[in-house]
Amino acid sequence: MTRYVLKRLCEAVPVFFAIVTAVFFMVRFVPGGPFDRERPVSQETIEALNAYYGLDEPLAAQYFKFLGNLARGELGPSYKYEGWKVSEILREKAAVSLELGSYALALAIAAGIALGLAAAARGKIAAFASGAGLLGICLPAFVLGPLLILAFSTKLGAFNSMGWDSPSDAVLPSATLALFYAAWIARLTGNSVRAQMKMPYVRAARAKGAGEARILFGHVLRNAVSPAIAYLGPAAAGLMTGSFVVETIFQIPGLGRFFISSALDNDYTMIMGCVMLYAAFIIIFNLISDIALAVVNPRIAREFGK
Amino acid sequence: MPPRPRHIFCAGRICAAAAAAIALCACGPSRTPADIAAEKGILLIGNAADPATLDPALATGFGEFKILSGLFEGLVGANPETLEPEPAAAKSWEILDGGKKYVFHMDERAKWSDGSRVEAGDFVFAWRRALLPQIGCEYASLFAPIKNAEKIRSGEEKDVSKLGARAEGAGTLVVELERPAPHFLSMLCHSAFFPLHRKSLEKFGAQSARKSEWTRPGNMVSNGPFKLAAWSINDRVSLRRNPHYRAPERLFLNGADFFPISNINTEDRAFRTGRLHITESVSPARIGYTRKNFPQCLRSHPWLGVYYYLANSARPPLDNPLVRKALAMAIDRRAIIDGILKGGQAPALSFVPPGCGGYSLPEKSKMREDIALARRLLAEAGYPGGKGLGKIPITYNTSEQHKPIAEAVANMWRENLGVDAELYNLSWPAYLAARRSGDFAVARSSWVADFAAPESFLGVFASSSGLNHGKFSDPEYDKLLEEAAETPDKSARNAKLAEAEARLLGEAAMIPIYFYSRVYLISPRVLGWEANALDFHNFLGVKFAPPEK
Repeated sequence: MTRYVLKRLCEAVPVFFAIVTAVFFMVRFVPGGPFDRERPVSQETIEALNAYYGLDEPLAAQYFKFLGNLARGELGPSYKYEGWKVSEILREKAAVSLELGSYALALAIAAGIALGLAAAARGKIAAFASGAGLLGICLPAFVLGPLLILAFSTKLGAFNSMGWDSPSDAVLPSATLALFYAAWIARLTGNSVRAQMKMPYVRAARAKGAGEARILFGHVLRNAVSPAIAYLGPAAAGLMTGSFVVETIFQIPGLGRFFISSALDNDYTMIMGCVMLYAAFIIIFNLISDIALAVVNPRIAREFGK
Repeated sequence: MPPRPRHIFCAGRICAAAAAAIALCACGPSRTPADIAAEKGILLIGNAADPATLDPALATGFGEFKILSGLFEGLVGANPETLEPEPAAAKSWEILDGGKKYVFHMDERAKWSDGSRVEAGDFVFAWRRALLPQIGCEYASLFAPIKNAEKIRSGEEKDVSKLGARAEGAGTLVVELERPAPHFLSMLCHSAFFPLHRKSLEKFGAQSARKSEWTRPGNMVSNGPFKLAAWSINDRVSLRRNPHYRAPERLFLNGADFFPISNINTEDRAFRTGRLHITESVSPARIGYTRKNFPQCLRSHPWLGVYYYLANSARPPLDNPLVRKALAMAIDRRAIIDGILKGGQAPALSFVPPGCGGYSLPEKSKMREDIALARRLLAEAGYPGGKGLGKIPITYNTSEQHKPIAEAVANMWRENLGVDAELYNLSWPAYLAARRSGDFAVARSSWVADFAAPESFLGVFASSSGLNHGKFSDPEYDKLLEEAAETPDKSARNAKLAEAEARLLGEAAMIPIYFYSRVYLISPRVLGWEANALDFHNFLGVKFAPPEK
């Protein structure tokens, strides 16, 4: 298993650098510069700003300087937010997105697996679970969020419609964020459970007198969750790094909006910070997902760890 | 009959658990956050954009100005009702040498938030800093009337001490102008002219340091009604009462929180669910509903700003004034306002909004909407029925409103003139780059007054203006602006400016579309939030009405 994990880690490093390098050069070829303003500023000002950010150096030199700073854990100052470092903004905002994403992930896993198991059953509950799963996939966050606000905030007055001040402020955004992922997990789990229930080992277990719950949780679920675990790798990275839509609807001071705003503002350092964070999360969660798969199914580690 | 399989999940149980969870989590506040804040004297304000800076010399956005108006105070303030200059950090002033010299007497009560006195030298320090090329103040051109300011700004004069502003002791500031500037006092309300607390600023960097941490909570020392209590990017900026403010008898609030809510629907929901007292705007789709159901919360008033299409006068076919005039005449402005904007805007047939500093343009000088004449002009230009003109690109930056307006204009040109238009949607930096490089035919533009005077608008199209991206050039227009600047008498000056604007419109240097209005929601409990044409608010006199029983 250790060899397998090390191998996956070694593969991740060049992927990370390829992403970072590609984005570093791509943002510099986007039309418009970071210092474009509506009102004219003097050439001396532009030169002073270029010197401050090191943009007066050749592109290759800028790249190696960036790598050097990165090795020291420095992401540089934001181009948009005067006097703020990218690392301090990311640290503060990522904490919020991470918290919201964790709630949503827990909710998505719990609800998704529960709905998936229910969908694999028969009768009305299965129909309800399948319908709920389909609804979750079809209902985008920008519709669900305002609907939840209308019901629980405007009508019932039970929750705040925006903000991130009290613990209850996490409920509606977590639910909005989780539903889509829960629906996919439910579909993947449901299909997989249905397939597993037809396997000979289930018949054998029933013949031995095992109860439905023991068959489901003791045998079937362990084999049926593999597709959901594989899906959860990139899904968790997406959840943990914030959602532009959900954070905008609920006015949550997370990271999600920076993925869009930094690109629109040509805030080079912030773009790099967001991309690196997202890439790191994708790599880490994919790795966790792979490890989890290997734990559930040791053949994977044996086959790929060679 | 086989035993019914026992379902592990019971729908009833799930529903009960969900209801219990909601009941547990929901504290069910009987009073909204806006009610609680009102009791504490804290005003909750929606502020569309996240402030990029709180440095008065670097601020450029309307959202930043709103916050800075609470944090700082200039020599002269503006009466929120009339916008007339009124004493602020300076208790009085004298205008000498035919308007070329101003002597300001500082108010002894004016204090910084650390308790130290606001001195004349603090203004000199801030103004010199704003003119430093390293600082790159975008509003440095506002200093142009002050002696040597332009030379320092352009780098011709390296010695900033040559600026025509000097402190005579702590209590007197003498400002010498290049020539009389009748709107000079009004300009002093702008954030670029705010004083800076030298000691606290230099603690975190040199005077010329653009990127510095002096604007952070705990570091910033300000002289306005409020001081900076908290600033979390993408979350809120919190201001709290400055205990040393010079006029506590006029300050009823204990603070103000600004929320950067970029989505107008989110902001609308926040207001309706009691999270805000004042919003930044209202979605056009919600204006009708709000007007019908909550008219007491909807406020709409003219704002000194114009939305226009900038024509590239240096590039065919729009280098031909006849084509520009034809395009301008073929737009149904009322249809755009009623169909898309719905916020009480006024159709713009001139560039300077009506009532700007007592200025008015004769009706005969204004543009006209006349489709028949527009067709004739287009034919006269050599493009009968739009033939041979090719497609006219309309460039605009990403916005929920710019796109439908561009579509409507393109449709009007097609139907009324037979002219085809192509829409180009660009990000803000790409749009600015296109404008600056002249890579456009027609570009969506807008201009909001820096101060309530027609010069704030007409100066945009001076040949020497860095904002004249359409490359409009008319020596007679420039001469009239120069002459107006030399004319101390207000009515004579306005007459010259009207003559200049008539030339501008006669040549259709731009295609004005509508004059802005400010449309926003405000809680009926907020008193003293005056509607004025600059939407300027210094928070003095603003208070909460007692709650209804």
